[in-house]
Amino acid sequence: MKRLFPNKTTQNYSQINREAYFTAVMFSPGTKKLDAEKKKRNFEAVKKSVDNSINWFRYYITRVLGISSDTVNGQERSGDPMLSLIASIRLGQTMETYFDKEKKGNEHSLALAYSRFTIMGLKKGVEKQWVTWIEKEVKWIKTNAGVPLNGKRAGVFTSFLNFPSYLDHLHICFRAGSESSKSVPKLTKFKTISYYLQKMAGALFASLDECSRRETTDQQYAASVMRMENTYFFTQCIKSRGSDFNELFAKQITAAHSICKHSMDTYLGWMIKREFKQLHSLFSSISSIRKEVGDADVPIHVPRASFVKTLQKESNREVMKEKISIIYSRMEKHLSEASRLLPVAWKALVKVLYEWFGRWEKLSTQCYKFVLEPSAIDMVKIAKAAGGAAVRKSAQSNPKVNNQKSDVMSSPEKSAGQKGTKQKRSY
Amino acid sequence: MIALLQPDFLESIRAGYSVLVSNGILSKKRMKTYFHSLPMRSCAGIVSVSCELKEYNNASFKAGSGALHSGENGFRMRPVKSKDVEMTLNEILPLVSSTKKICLFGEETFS
Repeated sequence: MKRLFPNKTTQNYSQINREAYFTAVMFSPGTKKLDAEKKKRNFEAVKKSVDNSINWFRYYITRVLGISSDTVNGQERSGDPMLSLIASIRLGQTMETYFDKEKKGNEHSLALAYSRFTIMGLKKGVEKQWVTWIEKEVKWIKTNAGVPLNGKRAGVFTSFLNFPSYLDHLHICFRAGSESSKSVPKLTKFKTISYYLQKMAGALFASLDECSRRETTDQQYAASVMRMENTYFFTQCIKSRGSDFNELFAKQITAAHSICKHSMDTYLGWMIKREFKQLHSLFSSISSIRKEVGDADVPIHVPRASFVKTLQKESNREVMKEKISIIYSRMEKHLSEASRLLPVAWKALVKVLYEWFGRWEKLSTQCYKFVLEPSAIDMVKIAKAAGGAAVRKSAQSNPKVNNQKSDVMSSPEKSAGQKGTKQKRSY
Repeated sequence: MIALLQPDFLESIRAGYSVLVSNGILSKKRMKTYFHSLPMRSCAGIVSVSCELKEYNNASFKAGSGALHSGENGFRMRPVKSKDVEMTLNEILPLVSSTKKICLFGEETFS
């Protein structure tokens, strides 16, 4: 890579310094033998030259730190936000070396104060540069680019997809900028950077919230799918990027986890209610009646003949296989490849099916002494068989990803497996 | 040495050198020529490592996968030239500081 400041140029710095020393000896205001008028004249001459050279030094410093703009071939070139972000870290570290720790006082302290003032000025410049970039990107995120108005099959938003790549880039630059340091500091140590990166992540969630709530978005399932996919993708991407980003986005990960879990519960509930409409309606009714009159009197309100007839029509093995196959196809259609949520969501659905059918099985036995066929365990086998082939296929194509342990993956199942879940309570 | 051997010459040497430095070595024109000869005078040769968020490639679950490779849109994540930043802060910044110090406090700063 071509160096911007070749060694030859830097070798001249010592010569410049020597020249400055010689000039200082000859003309400095400290020369005692000169009269006041000559001292003043010399001082002004030195000051003029020094100020001029300092302006040039500043000119090159701002170039190197990525905060200068220029017109090249008629096109305006602004600075380099990524470079200025890294420069802001380095400036902060450099600042620490310009404090008068030995408390020498006098001109030494004043010179250090001048250096700090220079650094602060530069830091202000670089921060303004990359903060402006962040603000601009936040605005772009809020345009909800690429999200269809009805929200159907929106998949993972472009902003969500690209954000981890930006973090990767930042990480590469941050590591490169810390090569010479004894230890690489944590990003969370830099409050301003942490704040603005979190602001970017916050904008992603605001965009997701806006898209999922807008009037044109399908609220039956598309809003839930949108929330599930994007939050799952965000969580998995950040978690796989190490403890530094995990710590930095801890709040966002917690929020994403919660949104994903809630949305998945809603989505799976909708899916089962839709496909097992008759059974759901029948057992909901039985459950309500049972609470009022007790198990024994349920057949008075819902006759056994009617109950058995519905089950024979809606709950035989062949019908179940078909329905589960339809659910899988639908889920496959709803969930995008990018989110890699299908195996996770399917696993969660199997668990929810087991719970719901287990509950219905129990109601059937207690109220009608009728054994539900297929049983809850049979339902799990049918569902696993339906999803198994596709999951195996996915595992073969992406073995590492599918072997990753995921909290989000396990949490909806855990929640579904607990007593008193939302699905259970609804009956 | 001049001050010890021929003290009378010192004043005229000072006066002559003052003109030489003010109008010659450190003249605005000469400094401009010198600094313009340095690299990075123009932004033309500088390649920005930054891009907009929408220009980044789609991320994968695994961190850094494809990070240093061209993606579908040919974008490459370039690292910043951190050595330049380091050099600037470690070498030019003290130079600015010491130059200013000379201006303010004169030769005593070197003692």
